[in-house]
Amino acid sequence: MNNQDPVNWLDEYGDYLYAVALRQTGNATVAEDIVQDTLIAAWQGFEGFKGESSIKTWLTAILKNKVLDYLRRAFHREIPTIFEEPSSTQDDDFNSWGIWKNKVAKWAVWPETPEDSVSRQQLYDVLKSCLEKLPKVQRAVMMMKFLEERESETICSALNITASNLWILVFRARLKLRSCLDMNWYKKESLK
Amino acid sequence: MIREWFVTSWFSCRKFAERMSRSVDRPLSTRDRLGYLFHFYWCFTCRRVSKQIRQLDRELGRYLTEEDLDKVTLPQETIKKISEKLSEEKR
Repeated sequence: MNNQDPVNWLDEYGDYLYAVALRQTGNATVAEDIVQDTLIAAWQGFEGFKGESSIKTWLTAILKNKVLDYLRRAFHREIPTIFEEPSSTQDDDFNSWGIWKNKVAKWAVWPETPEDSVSRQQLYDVLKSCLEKLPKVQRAVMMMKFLEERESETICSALNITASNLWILVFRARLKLRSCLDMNWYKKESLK
Repeated sequence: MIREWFVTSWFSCRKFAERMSRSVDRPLSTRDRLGYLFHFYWCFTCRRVSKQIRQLDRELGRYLTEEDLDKVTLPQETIKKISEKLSEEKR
């Protein structure tokens, strides 16, 4: 394969890049655009590629930056909703004393071994739909946290929000994801 | 007033969950850590939630970054569109 031809990159790694982008953005159209932008950016910056990593790793790193750009833009489009979120005392999970309203059930052990691959795929499907149900701002913040692999200060400055705002958004996203996973995965699994 | 502060800071599950979420990402201040530990030892439900949120983070990290991704393919139309764009760029 000619490693210097971007059309070959598309043939070889297009599906992989698309799968990564789709998982991280949750939107097929956006993922397709990100793959295109990644390949164009890679072609334009190919002179800077020193060959220290494989083409696939290099393309994945460019794609990650494109995803982060998209998440930042998505966050800023939705930013007014931050201020419309319920105040901290109105969260659904707690009563007015800040005590859990409902009993929290124990989670079963989740799929770990290769033989559990079907269960793992089912778990991922649930996780994917739970992520999709998150408010866009919370989703963008959570994705950035996992993809940035950097200090939260970097995320705060990229999004132009305070650390307290970030923690509240992450906290609420985690609680929502926990409830969603509890409802749609663990409770169903325990009924089997 | 003091009672309210004590209840919200030390006995509140909500406050605990907030501190726990923060502690996953960065160390807590001494004051927050004390409140966190106090609550952790007496509240069974919060211990369970704490474990679940850590599990959730691990699963989410795995889901978002693992190599063995879903078998999805770029639509043919998109491949054609991107190929054309790249050919234009090459010129």
